[in-house]
Amino acid sequence: MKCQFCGKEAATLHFTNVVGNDIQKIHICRACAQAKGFDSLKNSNFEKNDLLVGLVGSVSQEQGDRKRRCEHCGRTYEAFSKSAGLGCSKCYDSFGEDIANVLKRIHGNARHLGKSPRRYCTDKVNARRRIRALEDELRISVELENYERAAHLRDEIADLRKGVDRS
Amino acid sequence: MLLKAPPSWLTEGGEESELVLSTRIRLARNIEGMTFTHCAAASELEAVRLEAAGALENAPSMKDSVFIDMNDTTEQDRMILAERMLISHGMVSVSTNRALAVVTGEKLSAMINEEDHLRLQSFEAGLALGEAFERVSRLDDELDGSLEFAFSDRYGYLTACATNVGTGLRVSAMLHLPGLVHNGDIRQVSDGLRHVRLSVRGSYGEGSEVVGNFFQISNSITLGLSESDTVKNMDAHIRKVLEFEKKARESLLKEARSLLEDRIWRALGLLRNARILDSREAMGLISSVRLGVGLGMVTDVGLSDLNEMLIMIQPMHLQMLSGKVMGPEERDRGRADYIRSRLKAS
Repeated sequence: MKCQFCGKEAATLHFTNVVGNDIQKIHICRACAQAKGFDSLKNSNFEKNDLLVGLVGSVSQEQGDRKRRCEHCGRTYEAFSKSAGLGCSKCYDSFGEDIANVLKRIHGNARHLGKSPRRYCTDKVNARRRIRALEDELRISVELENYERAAHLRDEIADLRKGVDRS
Repeated sequence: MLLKAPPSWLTEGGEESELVLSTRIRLARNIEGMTFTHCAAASELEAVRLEAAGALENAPSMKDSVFIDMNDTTEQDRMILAERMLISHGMVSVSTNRALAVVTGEKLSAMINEEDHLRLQSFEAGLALGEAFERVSRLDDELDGSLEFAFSDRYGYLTACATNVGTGLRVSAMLHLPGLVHNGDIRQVSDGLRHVRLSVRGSYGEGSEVVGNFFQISNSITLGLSESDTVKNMDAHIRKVLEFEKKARESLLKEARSLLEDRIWRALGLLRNARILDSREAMGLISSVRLGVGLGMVTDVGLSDLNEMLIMIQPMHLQMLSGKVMGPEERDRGRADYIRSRLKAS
């Protein structure tokens, strides 16, 4: 078997890595493993970068247009797909739904459910966040056929929505 | 330059300290409107450094802290900081406009211009995820007053790498699992942890092999899960692993007590008498003695002595202690000398 990275040497090292729900088999030659720092724990950027490249790459191929640029920093989607790094915070908007798909593949989810800076902590934002959390719970309740809980959650969501719309 | 004392989180004990060396929590934050570190021009990096340094200086949590501008350090200084896990190995080689602020005792620190503009980090002895998170989150809140963090309602805190976006939270614990390594269950346990999306890595080695039966477990999901749920889940999974380790130790004792005793006492004998020890061998021996302390067989050596050794026997720390540059062979002699004197004193 040839090395996945240089395509020339025989792959002598084999790894299985799990990122999110994706299981990836890595077959790599010793030289590439050394070049990527995979032979040393201290600088093993290998796992993160190269596996992500696989994830990002496969999404972007489905979506086409790799030449898109972030208006703010000029980073191309292609550069992101090669290094897995974003150029600036605006890249998250610039690359649109492709980013959301990549994040879903990495994290199994593309919605933040944690703390936020004070400037974001308005009642409206908090209510929206609460709605999202309740919606997730509702989905699970339905799956578990706990209809009583589901009905209760549905009402609570409706009330919160009314409040958000009014404000 | 730095304290010669070991970090307090390593020697204080803490909950489950026989099985858990330390807890480490970090938050990744970036400043709104600034290009991420790896793409930023020098002028922008400098602006981030100044802004972040100013905010850290005013943060009450950083009251008793030292600010280290990496521009003013030597590579050796930075290697020491990396061995103490205060900076990344990337920062050892690239130091321009990088900085570190660290609170006395090293339980709280902040790296400036690492992969993200700010990496806030908290350490605790033993298993103390909640405590470590509280501390680092408090600093985050304090900085939130003076810095505008890059954030989106949809994706949360925006980070330079897609793997950290959302909470920017990485929760890790360093576990000592000789029982599971010995009975071979470590493989199954690691697979199980990976299945629930936790990452398991060997640790403290100079190479990629797992040395000394130390494993670092951390979360890999940062989006779609709140900080408190992340901490709660990790705590539950880690406690499960500890339960397995305790059972493995019990059955080891029942089935192979004399072999185990022999291994532990031989290890202590070697540490007390050897004249040359490479780091791999030293870590293996320390691991065995650590197990002996945990099982109550070895009573005249403390866990904190052994934990301290794990930091101090690293190459740059040995050179710092001796005050001179040492080649590999000299270090192996220095390591054996240090361990012998440390065990005599304890």
